[in-house]
Amino acid sequence: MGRLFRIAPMVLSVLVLANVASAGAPPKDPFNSPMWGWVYEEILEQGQVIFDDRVKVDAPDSAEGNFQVPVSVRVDGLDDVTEIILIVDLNPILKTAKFTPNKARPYFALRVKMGQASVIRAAARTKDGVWHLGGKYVDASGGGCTVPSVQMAAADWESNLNNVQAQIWPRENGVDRIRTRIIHPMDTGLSGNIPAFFMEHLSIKNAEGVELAHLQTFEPVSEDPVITFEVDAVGETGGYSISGMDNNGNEISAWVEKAPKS
Amino acid sequence: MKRPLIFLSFIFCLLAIAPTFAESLSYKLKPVKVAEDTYIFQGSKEHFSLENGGNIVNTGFIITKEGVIVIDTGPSARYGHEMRNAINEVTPLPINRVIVTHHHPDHFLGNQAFSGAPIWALPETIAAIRSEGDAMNENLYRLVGDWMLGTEVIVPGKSVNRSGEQIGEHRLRYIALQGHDIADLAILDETTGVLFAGDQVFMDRAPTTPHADIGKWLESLDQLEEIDFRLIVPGHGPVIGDNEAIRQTREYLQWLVKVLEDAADQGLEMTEVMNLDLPNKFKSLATVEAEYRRSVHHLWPEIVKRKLPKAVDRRID
Ligand SMILES: [Zn+2]
Repeated sequence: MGRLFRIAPMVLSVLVLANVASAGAPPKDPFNSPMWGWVYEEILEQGQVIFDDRVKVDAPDSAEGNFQVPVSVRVDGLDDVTEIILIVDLNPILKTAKFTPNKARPYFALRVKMGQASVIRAAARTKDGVWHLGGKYVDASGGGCTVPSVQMAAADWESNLNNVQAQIWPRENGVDRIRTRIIHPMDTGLSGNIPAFFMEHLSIKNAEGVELAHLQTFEPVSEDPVITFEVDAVGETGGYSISGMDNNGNEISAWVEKAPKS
Repeated sequence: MKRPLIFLSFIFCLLAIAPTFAESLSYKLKPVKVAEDTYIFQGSKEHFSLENGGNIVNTGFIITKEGVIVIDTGPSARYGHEMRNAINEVTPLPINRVIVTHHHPDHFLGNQAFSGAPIWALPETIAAIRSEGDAMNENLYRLVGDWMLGTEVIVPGKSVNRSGEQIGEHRLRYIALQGHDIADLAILDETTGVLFAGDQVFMDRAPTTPHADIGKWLESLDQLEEIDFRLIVPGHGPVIGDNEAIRQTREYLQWLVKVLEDAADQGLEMTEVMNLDLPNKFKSLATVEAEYRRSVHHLWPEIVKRKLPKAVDRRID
């Protein structure tokens, strides 16, 4: 089945929306994004905003393919981060993910779909309610040999839906890095008559059921999401549960165990 | 939640770069004689840009009594036309045929200029040009702009399905390979010993991997190394009379696979892999920093998919 994620500049919508944001005049955006006013108003709800180098977004300068653009977010030196929102300004759907680091480092990595060149931003909210913003501009003209506009979902996605792969890597300072891959088509609903069909929630919990990290995901997250977290380590042995749900109510539920030390 | 609406498709972007002074653009193609009856047009070792117009590729031609054999046609109609004119200045003989080595846009988008001559390619290449050619054409338009004006995809009509043939006084061997692309055709002119290796071989320039299967590519390089050639014309980079281009390409690909597999084993994520330092020995390869990152894009998702273990399923059926 062909799944299109259309390349769509939003010049007109930008012209309209740029005027709307004047109510609580937003601080100047270092990226000069035409969507900043909208982001400030609709996603950050005109909260207090600081552009902050401690919020680091890493992504390639130029995206080779539009469907698997890697992004990692790390907040370094800010205490009490309560949530991090990932935003791709010039995507038709801007809000890409919302991360809640309950007992996790303020860090996550995933891949996103991009319709065109855009700033990718992370808005990290601290306990005092202030938004700390970092970002990176990513060009999306492609490499020349890759075909940009059509994505074919794997033929066997239906029988493998919500199957989970995962691995744990112990890191320094009592942190376990967990990477998980979930089979899901992540349809945006923006093309043809294929309705939106995407994973909405993903939780990492310990054996007692305490949630260590939570990620809310939206349509622009890439097909078969690959997501990396860093959580407070469970100990030398043990493991984590990986659970979640898509927007059709299909369950994700799996367990990953630490590899025995060799 | 309010959602911005989509009004424009990217067709408009294409219209927006309409030409005003496109007529003055020229690739200034100069044929270089590399062997008896055999010439190449050598492109730069760069990536596609507005400045180079996509002339980053080596194309060539062989003059026989039965006409001219053209090998690859370059990145645009303009390139193809310039190529044909340059060939006409060397010989009055007609074009006998065009042979396309593989389905990357810098190798076949000049086909249009050779109307009247049959265009040959491997069957997989023909199918891939048919399904992806238009999208590649559009993408190259975005990267190099006006140079592409009027370029249309011409799908090769003749399938290379034999191991060689005699054309005039030249005996050609067709070597069907895989790994750089879904299908790669190398052409050995047994009469002169010139091996047109297509993008199976890069010289002093980082290999590209958008459709690569590195395992198959390495096997193909072993096959090429067995061939008794006098001169290799690589897809990109200067011609060379020994195995150095094959060695360079192999060494880089072996390193690339190993660095990605090791990174996956260590739990690195994709942006971290892109930020790894490259070994000094590869730093002399043109475009290697950017090409390495593009290769991470191409190859990493599959490596993660293959390496990440299955978690224990806890869903209740
Ligand atoms: Zn190629």
